[in-house]
Amino acid sequence: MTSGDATQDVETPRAKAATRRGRSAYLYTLISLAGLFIVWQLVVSAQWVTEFFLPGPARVFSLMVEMVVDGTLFVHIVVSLGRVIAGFLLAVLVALPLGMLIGLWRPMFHLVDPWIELVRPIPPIAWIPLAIMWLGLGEESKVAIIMYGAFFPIVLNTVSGFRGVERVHIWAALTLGVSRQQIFWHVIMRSALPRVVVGLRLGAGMAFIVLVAAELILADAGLGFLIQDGRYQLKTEQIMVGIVVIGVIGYFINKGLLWLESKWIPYRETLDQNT
Amino acid sequence: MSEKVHITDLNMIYVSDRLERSVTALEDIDLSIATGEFVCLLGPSGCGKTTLLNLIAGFLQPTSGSVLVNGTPVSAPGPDRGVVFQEYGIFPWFTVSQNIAFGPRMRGASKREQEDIVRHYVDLVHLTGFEHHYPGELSGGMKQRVSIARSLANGPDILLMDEPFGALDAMTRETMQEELLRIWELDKKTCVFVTHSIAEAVYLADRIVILSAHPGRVKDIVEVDLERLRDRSSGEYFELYRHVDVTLRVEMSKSREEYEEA
Repeated sequence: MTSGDATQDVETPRAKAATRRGRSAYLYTLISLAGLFIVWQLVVSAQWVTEFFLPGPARVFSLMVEMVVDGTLFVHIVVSLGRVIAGFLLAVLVALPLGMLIGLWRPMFHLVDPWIELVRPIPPIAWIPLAIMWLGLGEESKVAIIMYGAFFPIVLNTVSGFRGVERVHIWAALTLGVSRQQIFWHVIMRSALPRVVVGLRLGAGMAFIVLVAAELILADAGLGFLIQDGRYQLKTEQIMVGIVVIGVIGYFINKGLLWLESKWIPYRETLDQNT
Repeated sequence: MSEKVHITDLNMIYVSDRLERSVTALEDIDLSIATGEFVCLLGPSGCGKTTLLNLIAGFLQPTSGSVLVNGTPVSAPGPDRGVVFQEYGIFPWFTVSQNIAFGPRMRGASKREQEDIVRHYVDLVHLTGFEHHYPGELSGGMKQRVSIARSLANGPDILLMDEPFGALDAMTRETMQEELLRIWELDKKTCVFVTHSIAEAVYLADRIVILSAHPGRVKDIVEVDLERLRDRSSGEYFELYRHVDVTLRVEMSKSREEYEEA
């Protein structure tokens, strides 16, 4: 079933208005960002603060260009993203099936939920000493810390997705003569999917946020390392490069995942209504 | 006319864990519904009319007594009994077309068959142009059209409807009642329709089964011998309305007295 002509006819004016709104939103974003950089540079140029405490955007940008040219920034990014992806995927591997089990089976909920709620408030940094003792100073401990951070948003949203499957949808399917197996795939899974995808997006975001904490553990490359190393060498602009790059990458990861979400769940905007 | 649904000596008792007592929802129900008949189950809230519908649908099992459909005891929900729920029950992750085609698709109908079914039922419930909309983009009345189309597209023998128009505004509600009758007149499927609206029951039903509350019993059965489509402002219509209204009122005050004595 391809998208219908009628649908497009109905939505064309609305789509046009949305495009107009989108364009002006884009403009505001640009003004806002440019304004920040101008103020930042002014503060430094006027020498209200010394460049040791706050290097100006020009200086940070020139170091960034330098690091791009000599390839070191690329290496740091690749190393960090590798850790984030490994930690995220491991978290998905555990959190998805576990969340599904908890969401669909009450005894499992009562068994596991207290533990999740108990451990969840413990920040990833608190685990660093134990992670080092148990897993050493290599990649394992760093990936484990990232996995820990990503785990909770995924498992919690998966649980609520599967617990939120409505009885009326199962009953409706039963009266249509649909088999149990088909109900699982076409009703239960479909019903839980939007929340699961939200969990994946938040989990990916969390994996990236936890990255710097994970790279506090002895590292010789990575964006977190860049920041740590900048601190030891008193190179403030290197710290700033690390911070800016993390911000920019995080921004694009989130944008990309939101885009994927809208592709996977085209009806997302129509939810949260009584259907 | 042959018999479609036969209910004998039916009792339904719920055990409430929270209240630590059992509640009798339905008591000594005997009811026979003929093939092609349009029956309304009418009663105040808490009279067990939805429970009775759910027992026919097979979502619930009676504490005692039996429900026969086509002479066979009901043990589970099945495609012979289509259900239209008050809260719509259509799938928000499917478009209108996908909702309507869902039953046939799961049975393994070909793409061609599915398209034909969708075209026919979209046309029947007047949703042409909305085939590719998601339920969240539709009004309440349109959602209920989808729900009716989805049930009919699966070819049920009986249509069970649980206050399907309860959530709609008065104007939409009357339109939907007229639409439902127009569709029903085409092949006169056996229809069991739960409502708490007297006007709706008098407008739609061949027979109105009036249930009393706490516990739910069959209080009275009223035959509606008026030509369809019925004139909502005619004298006969109003006479029947009054008759049913009086019966219900007596019933409600009685159950209130009993409740207060208890």
